[in-house]
Amino acid sequence: MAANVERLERAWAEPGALITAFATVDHKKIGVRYLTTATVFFVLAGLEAMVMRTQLAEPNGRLLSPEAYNQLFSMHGITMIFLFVTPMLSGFGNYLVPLQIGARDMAFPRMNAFGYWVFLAAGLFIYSSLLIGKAPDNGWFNYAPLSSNAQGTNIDFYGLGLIFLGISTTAGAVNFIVTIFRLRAPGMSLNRIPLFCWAVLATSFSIVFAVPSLTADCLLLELSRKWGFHFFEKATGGDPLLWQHLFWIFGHPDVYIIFLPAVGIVSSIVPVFSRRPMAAYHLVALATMATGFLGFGVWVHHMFAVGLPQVTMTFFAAASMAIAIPSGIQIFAWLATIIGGRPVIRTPFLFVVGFIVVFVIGGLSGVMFAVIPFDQQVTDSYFVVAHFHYVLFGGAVFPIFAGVHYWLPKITGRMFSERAGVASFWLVFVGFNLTFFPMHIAGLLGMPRRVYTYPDHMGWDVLNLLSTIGGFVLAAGILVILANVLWSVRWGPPAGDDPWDGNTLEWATTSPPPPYNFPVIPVVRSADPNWDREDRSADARRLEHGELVLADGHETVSTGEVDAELERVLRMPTDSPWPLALALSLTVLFVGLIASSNLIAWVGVGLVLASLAAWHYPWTPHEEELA
Amino acid sequence: MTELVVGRPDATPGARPTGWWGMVLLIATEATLFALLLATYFYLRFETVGGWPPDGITDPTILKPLLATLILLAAVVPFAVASAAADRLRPPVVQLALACGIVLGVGFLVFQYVLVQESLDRFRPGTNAYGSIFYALVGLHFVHVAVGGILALWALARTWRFDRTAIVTVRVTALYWYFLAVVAAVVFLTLYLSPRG
Amino acid sequence: MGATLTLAAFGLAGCGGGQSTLVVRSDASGRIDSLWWVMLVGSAIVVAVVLALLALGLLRRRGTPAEERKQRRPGTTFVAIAGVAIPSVVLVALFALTVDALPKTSPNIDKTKLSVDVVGRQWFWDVSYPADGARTANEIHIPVGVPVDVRVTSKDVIHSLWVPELNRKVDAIPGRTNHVVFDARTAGIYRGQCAEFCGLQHAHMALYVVAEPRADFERWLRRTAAPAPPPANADLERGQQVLLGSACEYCHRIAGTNASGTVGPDLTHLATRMTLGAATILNGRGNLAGWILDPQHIKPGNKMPGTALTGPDLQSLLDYLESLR
Repeated sequence: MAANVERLERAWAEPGALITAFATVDHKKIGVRYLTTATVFFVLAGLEAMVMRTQLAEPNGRLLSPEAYNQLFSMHGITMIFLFVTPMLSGFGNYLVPLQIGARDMAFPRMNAFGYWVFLAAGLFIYSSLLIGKAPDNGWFNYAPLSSNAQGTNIDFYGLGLIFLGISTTAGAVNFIVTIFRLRAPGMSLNRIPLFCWAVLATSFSIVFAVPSLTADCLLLELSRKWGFHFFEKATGGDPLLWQHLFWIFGHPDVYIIFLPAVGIVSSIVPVFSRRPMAAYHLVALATMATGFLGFGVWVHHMFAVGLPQVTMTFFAAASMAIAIPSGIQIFAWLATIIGGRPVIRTPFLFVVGFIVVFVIGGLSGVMFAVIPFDQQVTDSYFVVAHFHYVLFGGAVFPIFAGVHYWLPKITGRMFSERAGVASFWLVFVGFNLTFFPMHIAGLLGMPRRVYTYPDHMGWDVLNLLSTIGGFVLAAGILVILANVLWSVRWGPPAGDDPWDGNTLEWATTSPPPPYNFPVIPVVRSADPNWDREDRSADARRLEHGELVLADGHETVSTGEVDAELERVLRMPTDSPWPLALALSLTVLFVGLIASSNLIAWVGVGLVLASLAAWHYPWTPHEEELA
Repeated sequence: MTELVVGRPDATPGARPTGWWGMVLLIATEATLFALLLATYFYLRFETVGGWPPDGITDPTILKPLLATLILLAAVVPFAVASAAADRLRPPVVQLALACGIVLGVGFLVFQYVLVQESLDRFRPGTNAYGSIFYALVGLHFVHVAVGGILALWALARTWRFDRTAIVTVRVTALYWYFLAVVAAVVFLTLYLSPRG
Repeated sequence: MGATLTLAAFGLAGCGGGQSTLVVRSDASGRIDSLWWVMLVGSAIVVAVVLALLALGLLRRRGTPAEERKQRRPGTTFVAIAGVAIPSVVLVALFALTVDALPKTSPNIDKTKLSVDVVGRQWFWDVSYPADGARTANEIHIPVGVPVDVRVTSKDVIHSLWVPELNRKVDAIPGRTNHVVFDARTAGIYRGQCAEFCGLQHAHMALYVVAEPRADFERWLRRTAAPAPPPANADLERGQQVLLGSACEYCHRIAGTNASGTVGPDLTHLATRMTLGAATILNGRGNLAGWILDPQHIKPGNKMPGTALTGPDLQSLLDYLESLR
């Protein structure tokens, strides 16, 4: 046994720190990079929000000019949605999916690294706009024709930046789909994959079909802005609503791209802390896929005020109500699990409880928006700002906070401070509600959204002040979380392999896991594999016999898509500089595009082709020649 | 792409390699992109009062675009031959077939370039929304075909070391070219035949 | 001017700003308001149920981390009933309410007796009554109890006309005409505001809807359709000369004079209006002076440049503008 492990250790030994920094393809390292980079963007977006809230604390505020405010609210939305919440969840996916399915890495390890580098590059690309005072200033959904006619490069940072980022998102989605379908441990049939992996699967399919709509829209926008094309003005045969349709065909599935992995985290935590398997596992898996699918059929509910025919709107209202059902299934499945279990109240579980309360409120206000006349009254007011913060912060950020605390011990090997965790939960919960609940009322009292200031006789003053105070409380809670994480990374007590007695396979290995994840590929016979003690002992015995150790290089297994029967052994790439090279090449291309420099852009294209060639060139051939 | 180790006692043939699945999903995203642009074409047309093409732009002639499309559709054959020959471990056939496919592809690109230059005399992207969506569709497909040509050149070069990865490269190249052909057919039907309907 | 200010004070100092969705001044907004209360009660019940279930789960039995996991009943039936069956019934009912309410808030142009055209511009509202040739800005006058067809469009980017106490919002989209019906039950002043982000001064693009008895409305309409009163004395004459000699006429129209610009709001009867700058400041001599001299200070980024005027010129101009009733 020791000899087998030693061979593995040697095969997976990492080169020096410098090479690893630029060339690693280890999904765990890449996952941590996504998590930390996304956190930095979260803090930036949060600071943007705090400056806005300070401006709005009183009527007729003079802290910010309208230019500054408009750039801040736009960057806040763009950052939170594109640079924080999706990459953060991608980070969890990257770290956990191979571990949870019993594999040693993703199906395309180098493309995984590439995805991270492009995310970082695109994020920096977009933020460089703020440094030169030309940040996008037309909101995160950037309606035409204000966008297509706008002077300056602000909107180009949006259009080109999102196309750039979309490359990363799409690459990640393809990787997850192939990984989940082909690299699962033997025996892990589809009805045994963790609910978090179902969520990542549904999300990834949504990304494959939704992101092209955003890409198409941004392509049309940039063609209009840079090359004189006309798509969005009536005078030349176009239509401003074209932007809206293409945007929301992406935009509504996007909220499920955000929501599904987050509730996948919830489905990971609830069974473990309720000390019982998930109730109605099959219904939850089905609801997850159904949400992803139905999410494509509701986009027009973002356009109820534009003057569409009643028949059209009525159909989409019905679809928008129907999509509440799969979410309801999930909520009651969690409640059933908790009620039927013996709950253990620790920080991860506290954040899950917070999620349930906040998300249910947000979901209910969402159902209200399906009632067309009510939507037409309160859309574009602070009521909708309240709604989407309840579903996004409640439905994604609370689960992210839960996931951070749940998996921090696995990722770092150290436990956080439970006291700080509880304190941070209450600060966040109270702060969040104090910030956003009053916004429901402000909206009902007629306060529109995206206003840099408001008059003082409208009845909105106290409500805004409460929101601002709440914002500071919320910020304090987030600071405590950050401090807790940083403290525990350095000084936290050792957590052990399995501090929570988890049901999924990441808890079957050390904390942190070795580079090869598992010394032997596990064989699985249920949906809660880490609770099957005999199976895990059987793994240990197979390690002794050297069965499925696969220590001849970086190897894992590929199995059948449905029933995960063993098919073949896969040899995976080791560290490679080409993902970074390709990402840098793309950066050159996009810089050329935004600077309107044909030379730089074509140089970028050349570098892209060269990087792709170098990536695929067999520098050290492993395979035998067949002819 | 993950390389495959064959000859292990537990290896079974038949399952599609991960690279194949990756290309299928990439095609799914690009096909969605084209589908949305085609939907945009019909949306703009549906919204336009009066004739289509609007503003007195004459119906496009069919013959030359049809020929160009047929050239691209014909390219499917050599790529299919290359893919089958790769599975049968016959590199010379693969190389010849790929070369034929590349020639046809380049022929399409050259022909298409000439056709676009001719069209630009009648209307430009900036003329109106019709011009914009017309050239957006044609242009995007052109870029995709060019990428396909580069991919085919790479696949050809890669056959110099005929291992499993080289085989998968040929197979995914063929897949991509089938996709290009389908898009060409649909774009042709949309831009050139549907206005007459 | 005194009457205007009184009206303004009434509207502006009343409870809230006259822009609340919960204050019902028409059948349409009343219908939406009823929907809101029904949904609020329903939501409160759901939240209470969920909180009760949570409490049940959290407070009943507590485990410790070392406790053995129990294999409990799957819970599929509970989930199916609570998560599918009951919500389906509720949602069907909600859908029925929606379908019933939709005609009440949608424009039924056949029932309307009057049309007014509202064009959203960056950043003001251009209001005209085409049948009568009346034109104004940032105020819509309507007769009480008469359904009015408001035809909404935009000259530049997407705006949205929202007067919550009268009806739902409707987007003002360039190249497209949308309709909303205003049918005020009682006389009053109702505030509205642009509700679609439209650029730098989206925050200061508000307007007032004045619902008045039919006779008053007709009088207002006739007066607004008439050209501006000619200057009645030398001072006003001088004021008009100052206006026509400055850049004002390139952007503004005063019917009956040579000023016929259409970039900015119509000023023909400026003195009858309650506010300036699309309800940003009250209309009064001091505010008007400040606006003319430095509009960027009040509404930074708006499209009106400042105008430098000497003291006497300014005073005469103000006198003239105050005469435009």
